[in-house]
Amino acid sequence: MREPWQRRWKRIYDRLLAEAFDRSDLLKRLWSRSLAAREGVTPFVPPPPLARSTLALLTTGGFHHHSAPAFDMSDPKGDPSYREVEIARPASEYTITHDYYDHRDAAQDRNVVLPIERAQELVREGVLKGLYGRAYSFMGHLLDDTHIPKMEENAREIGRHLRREGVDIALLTPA
Amino acid sequence: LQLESAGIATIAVSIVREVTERERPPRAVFVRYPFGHPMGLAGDTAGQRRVFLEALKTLSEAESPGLLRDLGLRWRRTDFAALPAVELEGSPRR
Repeated sequence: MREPWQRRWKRIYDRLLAEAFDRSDLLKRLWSRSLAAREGVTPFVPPPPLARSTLALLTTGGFHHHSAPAFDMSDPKGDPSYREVEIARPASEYTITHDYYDHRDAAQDRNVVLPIERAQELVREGVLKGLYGRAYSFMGHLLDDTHIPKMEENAREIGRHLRREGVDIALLTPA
Repeated sequence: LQLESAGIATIAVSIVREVTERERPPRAVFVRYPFGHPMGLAGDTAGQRRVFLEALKTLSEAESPGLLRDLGLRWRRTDFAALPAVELEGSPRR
């Protein structure tokens, strides 16, 4: 168990590192080269017409309800868990725990990462048939294989649930 | 990938092109935006809507896996009001 000051310094260091990556295309390229290219077949499902589709939103933006446990920022290998965001509840009930991006704008307007209000507008206009009542937020930051099996298991669980609930399409947004 | 395997058609927004090229999701749109802003600026409804509609258009038009479409939008430099409307199937005015 780390001492609290160590955790504080780690979070400051992580935020500074994220800021440096954000500003440098070179660092982004070097980072991406360190990641293994995924092998295997890419699944592909033809979507129904948009006006007959129910959409779900998923993000790695680190959103969670104030009363829910925060994402684990102490593990340098990331956090494979997820939290649910109830669409009908006000944005003010939710917060963001994520040290790997500057989320001041997302805290002010969640639509920059999790476009709930934009999706609701498109449903009202008839572009989409519906918006599923829950969005799903991961934090992620999985830099090696340690937590990837658990994150994939969680994503499979969400996928099966959404399909049973009649969801046809999903928009995935990173942080 | 797990969602698509469950029968849900997915569209991802990418802000680091090289990472998306390595991950190879079923479909993705790329925006050259900073971390924490895949849909655009805070309070910019028109810009966020543009990314959303372009993503939906890509979702509905892609015919095979692996499409990564650069939307050509530039951070703080795109005039969304000057862009032609996004034409979606069955809804010509967007």
